[in-house]
Amino acid sequence: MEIKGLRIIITGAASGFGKEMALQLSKQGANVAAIDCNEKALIELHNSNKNITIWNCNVADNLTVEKTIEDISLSMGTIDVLINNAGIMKNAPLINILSKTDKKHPIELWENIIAVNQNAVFYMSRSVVDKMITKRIKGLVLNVSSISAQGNSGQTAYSASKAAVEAMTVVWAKELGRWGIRSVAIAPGFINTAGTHKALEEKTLEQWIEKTPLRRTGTIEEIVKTVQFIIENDFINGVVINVNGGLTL
Amino acid sequence: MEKINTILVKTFKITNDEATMNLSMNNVARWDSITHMDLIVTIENDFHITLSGDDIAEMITFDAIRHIVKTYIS
Repeated sequence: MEIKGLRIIITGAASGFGKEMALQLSKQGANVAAIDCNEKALIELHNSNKNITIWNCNVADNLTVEKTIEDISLSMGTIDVLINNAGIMKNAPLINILSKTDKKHPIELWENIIAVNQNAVFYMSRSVVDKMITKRIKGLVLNVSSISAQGNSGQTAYSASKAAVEAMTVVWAKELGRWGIRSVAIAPGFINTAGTHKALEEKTLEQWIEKTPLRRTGTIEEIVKTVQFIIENDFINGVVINVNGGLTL
Repeated sequence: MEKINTILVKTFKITNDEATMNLSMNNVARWDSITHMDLIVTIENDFHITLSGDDIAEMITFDAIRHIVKTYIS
């Protein structure tokens, strides 16, 4: 698909990967609908590029998702690409022996991460793909996974949610290919974003950099370039593309 | 409707004789929600038509398929 003129929805678009994707894809002529639950950051995004439409939506809430997709469809006419980028990363061991009270992984943390990283991808995709099939759009669902999908200690919920995202990616490639709809995931390694620095202690991040063959973190630009490549290459389907400098967990 | 019979045979791996009967989702082993998508996509491509969502949901017997497709091509 040629990026110019495409109608693209990006979740988690007000910061990090999502924001850069929105700005770059819009710059290349795509009509971008930016979804996020941070209204202030959305307004800032819109102020930096008036062509990007902004939609305040909690993607972990299905009713809100249904309404937002309906509204975006009415506004844009149709949807060619959905980028499921929204996600949160919070860490906890399965059993925290340092805790003096309940040592077990907090249930609310598990539910929160699964809701945002896994359920939201399901809610968004079912709503958008329904529109694609109804209008016979040969579109693309692009999911943002993580190297942690392979299982990273301290990240039970995060790893599980991203593994689920990768599984859904493959299922949808098999199910939707007959309609000409592709489903692809990217799995970034450690990328130099505010989110990475917030989620990891600096010494932990340094250890990961040492384990990375390229001895550095990736950049947001390298993620965005991968997204562009996937959009433009119509034969990529049902795979998870690792962007991790050669790091394997 | 020979063309539809051919599609039914290929999609559901049934015999030519079975394709002429009025079988339904209930008695064709390979007919589920996934193969139904294959059926619809093949019909749309072969007949150059776009079926409505309601019609797609109604096409759960061979007779219904024949009847609905006819309304698009006549």
